Amino acid sequence: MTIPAAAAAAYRAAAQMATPATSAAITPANIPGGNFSDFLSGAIKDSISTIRQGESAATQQVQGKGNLVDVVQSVNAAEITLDTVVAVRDKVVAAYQSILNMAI
Amino acid sequence: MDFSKSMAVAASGMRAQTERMKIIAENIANANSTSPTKGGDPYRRKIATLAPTFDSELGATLVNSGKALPDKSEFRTQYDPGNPNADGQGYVKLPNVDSLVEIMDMREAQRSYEADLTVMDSTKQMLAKTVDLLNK
Repeated sequence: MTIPAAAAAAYRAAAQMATPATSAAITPANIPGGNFSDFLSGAIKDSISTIRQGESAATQQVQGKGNLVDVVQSVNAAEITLDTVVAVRDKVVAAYQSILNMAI
Repeated sequence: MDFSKSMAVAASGMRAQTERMKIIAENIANANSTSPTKGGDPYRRKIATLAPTFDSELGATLVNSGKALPDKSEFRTQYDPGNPNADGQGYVKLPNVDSLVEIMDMREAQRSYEADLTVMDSTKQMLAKTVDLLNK
């Protein structure tokens, strides 16, 4: 039985996809973006500015100045950002609690 | 994120259709507007134009409403010698607006707007479902 050349090429491509493009090992020292608390505070700062944009767009719309489409766009972005931050926070709190509950 | 890009593109489409709708509304509202001066030209129909614009900051091609162009077709004429705007032969020039054409344009603008709304809705659902994965 012979494997068609196309199938062999597909296997090769899949095998290459499985190996990461950057072969450098990730150690705590070279993780891009610093440690976890830096990442979390950065994400929260970003999300606060997104939510502020949503709020200011909503205020402008109430005052009759804003474009409805812009308001929908900003408020949607703010909503999704808030959902993401809440989900990440819940995960972090759950992880912290499972560490606290560890039998010593 | 890429989802916010597709949201922005859909929003630009909605803005463009809003502008197009404004021009259609002008055409329909002025379908019977004659010239303010005797023998002058009445309201000339405007054609909304849409132009693709590449937003390098966003990395996506948005759509913008271009300049509204005048419709160069002939004006309608109506025999009405009693009208103060009538010319020497008693004909009054009326705008080159065909309400059937305007209604069709309006439907098209409406459907395009709805399509953009659907894109926004689907994008939001995809995003929300992805965030939901974190809650499990």
